[in-house]
Amino acid sequence: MRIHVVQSGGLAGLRREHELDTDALPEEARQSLTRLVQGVAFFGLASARVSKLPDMIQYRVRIEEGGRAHEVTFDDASGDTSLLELVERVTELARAR
Amino acid sequence: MRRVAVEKDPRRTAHAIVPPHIFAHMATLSDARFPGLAERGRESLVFCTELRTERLSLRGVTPLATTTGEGKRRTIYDAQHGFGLPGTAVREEADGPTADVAVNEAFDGLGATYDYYFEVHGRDSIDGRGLPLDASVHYRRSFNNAFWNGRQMVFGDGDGEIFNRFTASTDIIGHELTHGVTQYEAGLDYQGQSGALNEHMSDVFGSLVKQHVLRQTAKRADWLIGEGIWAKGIHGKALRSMKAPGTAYDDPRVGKDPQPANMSGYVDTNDDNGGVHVNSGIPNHAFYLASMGFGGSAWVKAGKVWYLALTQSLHRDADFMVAAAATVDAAGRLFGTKGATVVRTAWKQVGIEVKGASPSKTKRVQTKAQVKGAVQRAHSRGPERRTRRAS
Repeated sequence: MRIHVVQSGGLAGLRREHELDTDALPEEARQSLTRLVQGVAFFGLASARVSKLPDMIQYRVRIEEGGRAHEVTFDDASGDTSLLELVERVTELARAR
Repeated sequence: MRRVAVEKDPRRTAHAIVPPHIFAHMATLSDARFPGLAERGRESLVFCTELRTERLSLRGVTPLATTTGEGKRRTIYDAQHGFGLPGTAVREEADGPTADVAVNEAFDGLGATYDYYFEVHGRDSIDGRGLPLDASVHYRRSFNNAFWNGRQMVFGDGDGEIFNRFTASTDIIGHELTHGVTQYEAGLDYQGQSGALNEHMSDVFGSLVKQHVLRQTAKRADWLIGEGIWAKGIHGKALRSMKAPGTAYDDPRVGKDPQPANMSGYVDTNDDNGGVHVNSGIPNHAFYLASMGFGGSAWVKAGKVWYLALTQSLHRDADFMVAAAATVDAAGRLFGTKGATVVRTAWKQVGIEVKGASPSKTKRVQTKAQVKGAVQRAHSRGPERRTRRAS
């Protein structure tokens, strides 16, 4: 599974990108990410939910797995906690590499 | 305590009681049934400014009760690195400092912002009606942001690699709370040019909060937004510079400050709600130029002009042309033809030309704005012109 996260906006207006291939991760990290993706039912989510509130970071998350791909856009206010946790975890793992 | 002679002057007493925003409103009146009222409003506004300056110069003298911001009601919460808001209350209005620097910085920043709006514009809190000011610190883990969520302030700690804690900068706190003021006033739609104006207003009043705390003139102020929040090692002074947009930072880890200072550099992009944090550099620089044109402390004239436009003229889908015309008009109402000329010249220097006669002192005059082909040129460039940002 490949996870690609693009962040834009926020108070600083910075654009940052992170990409992970879960197959290249240690087993524990791979399983935790898989649980998060399954937990939010990522492939069934609506493609865009944006609050348009000021200074929110916008996240564009694209996941490819087994020949299918799905992209979802949300922000700090419109994203469910589990989606924000997914972004947090991907960012942490990408930074650690 | 020293007795102050100002209390013997009944005119001064009246000005201590009547909030300046009443005079600001009077200054805009064009109704023929109230001849001379607008002129008296303008005179009173100038007098309010002189009186405040006098109070500030009387070191050691307790300010009048009406200017101490008694309506301030702050509560700081600790989100304990979780997603739940607001979290646990850790400092309220009557409490002294805690051992947590983020809590104390948030408390002080909220106070500085409340005091600025109350003392300079006669505004009682974000909504103008004494809204309690709530803020949560330690939101999420290594969270690289701060925002006003429509109800309260939220601060992250930063990841320590790119950002420090977001409470460290007074103008950031003023910036975020001003998003609340805009929400209750012009309601500028957070997309494209109206969104860039929303950002611009937050930078203007965020910077003025800091300048007011430091009692700086426009000439002495640094005009930086977010000074001190880059982590150690990031090559940058701040997030944005109103004095020199595009020069605030340049580092391989975060890219280069992409802000233009002129319409010739307007950026079309789909990211960031249409580049709201990028194109705000253009009106930001116009405000800086207007402040320098007026001279003295920026909140005394330029700040009042922009506040009048924000609270009485601008609407949710206003663009740069509308904002330029509204501020030229507001300057004419508050400070006459000379004031309008200062603001008109500032906008012209960033590539936005406001045409039409200057507003007279008592008669409302329609003003037309025209951007000399700049908007059309910018929009004809097609998609995504920005390529320098780091990933």
